[in-house]
Amino acid sequence: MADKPANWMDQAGELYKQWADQQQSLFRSMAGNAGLFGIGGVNAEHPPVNAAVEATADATEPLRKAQALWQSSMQQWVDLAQKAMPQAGLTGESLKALLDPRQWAQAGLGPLDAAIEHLVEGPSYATLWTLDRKLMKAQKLRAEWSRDLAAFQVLMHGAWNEAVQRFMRELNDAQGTPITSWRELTDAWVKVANETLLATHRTPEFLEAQRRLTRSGAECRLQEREIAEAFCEMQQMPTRTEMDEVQREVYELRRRLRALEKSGRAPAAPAAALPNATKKPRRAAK
Amino acid sequence: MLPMNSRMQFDPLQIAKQLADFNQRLQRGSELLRSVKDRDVQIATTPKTEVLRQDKTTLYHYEPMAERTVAVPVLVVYGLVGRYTMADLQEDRSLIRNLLLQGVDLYAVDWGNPARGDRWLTIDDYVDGYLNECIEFICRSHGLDSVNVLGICEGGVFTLCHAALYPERVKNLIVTITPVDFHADQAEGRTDHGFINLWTRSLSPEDVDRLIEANGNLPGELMSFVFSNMTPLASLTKYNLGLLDVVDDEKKLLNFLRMEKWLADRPHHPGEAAKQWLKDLYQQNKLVKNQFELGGRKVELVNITMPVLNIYAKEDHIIPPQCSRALSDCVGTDDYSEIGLAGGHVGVFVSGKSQGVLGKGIVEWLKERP
Repeated sequence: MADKPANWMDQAGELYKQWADQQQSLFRSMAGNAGLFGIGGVNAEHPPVNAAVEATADATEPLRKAQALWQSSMQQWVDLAQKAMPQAGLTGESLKALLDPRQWAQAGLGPLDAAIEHLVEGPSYATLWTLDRKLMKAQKLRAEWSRDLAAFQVLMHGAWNEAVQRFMRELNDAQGTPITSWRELTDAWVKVANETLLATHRTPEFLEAQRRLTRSGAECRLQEREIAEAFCEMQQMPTRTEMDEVQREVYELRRRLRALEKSGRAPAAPAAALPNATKKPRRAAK
Repeated sequence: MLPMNSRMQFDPLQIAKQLADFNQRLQRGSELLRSVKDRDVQIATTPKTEVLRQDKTTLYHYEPMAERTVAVPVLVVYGLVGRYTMADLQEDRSLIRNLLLQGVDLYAVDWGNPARGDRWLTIDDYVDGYLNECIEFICRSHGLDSVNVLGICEGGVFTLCHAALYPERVKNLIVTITPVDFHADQAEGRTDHGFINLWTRSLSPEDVDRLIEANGNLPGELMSFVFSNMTPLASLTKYNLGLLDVVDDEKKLLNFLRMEKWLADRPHHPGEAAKQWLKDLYQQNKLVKNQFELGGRKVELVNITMPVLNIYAKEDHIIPPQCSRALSDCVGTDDYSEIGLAGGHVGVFVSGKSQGVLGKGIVEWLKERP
């Protein structure tokens, strides 16, 4: 985590902490001032006169820190805006990047991922907070699955958009066969869309997106099973893993039984000589 | 807005007529759909008797429909990705019925519906266990030392493995729409063929392991999704355009619904067997390299020394023809024949056109090898 750039969620947390400290200082100063609102009183640790001076100093420091933090945060926004919209103005590429749903999905999940990752990958102390960690990990995996699903959907949307564009081009092709019925129109659309989707399905991008979605779905399911098993154990109920183990033992026993039955039984009839047996592959014989 | 030179040339009168026809069709279809009950949509109805049961695996023996013309019984072996009922979809579209009507003594193995508890079953269990036991049973029942075996798709791979391990138990081997070289799809260069090969290679072995670990098996729903990706628009328009084409014709509608019933009955593939299927065969292509191992024994295709008939579909988008035809160079017999049929993976079994051709081709080939 240390070598990763600070994200906005961390900064928001820091801002809140500064604000809370500032409020505490303010209340302390009010409590120390006997005349103010008629509360507080003489306190050995914070004499009334000195307390007001100290409180003022306490209140200034957090404000200064908060201002610096706010400026730093704003600077990041400016950097982002400059990246998305270069000095030359709003280009097609920058607009595309801004409107690309993949960018939204990544940006939306980034800070959440980082926060959960921090909790999940932190040091663990025996079984302390084990279930909490499992729940947090499940949340992280669910977020990864959502991101993979979004990436997959973006690819599919792209394919459908391309199919529409191709279809419009074909419709406007004056050399093409005239279309005179709604069924001919539908068939033409089906043909174009099918070809486009099939081509998309064979691209490395689609295959990788589908692979990631399949994998993250499996990881989510496995983590959910861990949580379910933790609750099963609390309630002294058999878990899926235990059932799998039992079923494996039954399977192995059945297998041994079949082998025993087979070894103790004479074969149906002696093997006959096989005609046309060359005993070398046909490719070698050619 | 379309420009003036658009291909669309709609005549308002024609459009009105089409709309009226469409409405009439919808009306008739709606009435027909309301009258169809589940009992009207039966599949695998050819009379048969259960003769052997091992765990969830059942061996059926079909009742004869004609005088015997092929002396040695034929055992039909389907895979685990679908159900054997595809070979007996309906009376006039049934390989089973066609073979029976031509005098074949017929058996079929049904692997049942594997559940989570069956996740540890391997291909070894299916080939060396259940299938071998079925063949032994038929041999004992008929006093034979070998039987004819007919494998379909993944079932074809099972029969190839069994024939390589127990060549003395297989008199004649027929494989249909069966993959042998799982990487030969790349040679075809067609965008509409071999997506399963491509999809499987896009996964890492660890992806496969985690998928199976998470589900305990290869979910039937996932395989249905992968299949629908192979014909994306046909899958999307099946229940609107596809249904609309048949909805006012009772015979066509019932054909459509029977096929839907078969498609909906897609079992889960037992987990450990699925790992072998996806990793050893689809990813590492071990069968054609003679590196596939079952129960510690190497499956060497050169040990397939009995006569072999290899039937493939010329438009098979699931098992591209080159993946099947690779068998030609691997077997250890000179008595090797091929039949390439017009049609796709399932169409070869259920289309009206292929009904006479497929059964007849098999029976004639068997009669020449009594």
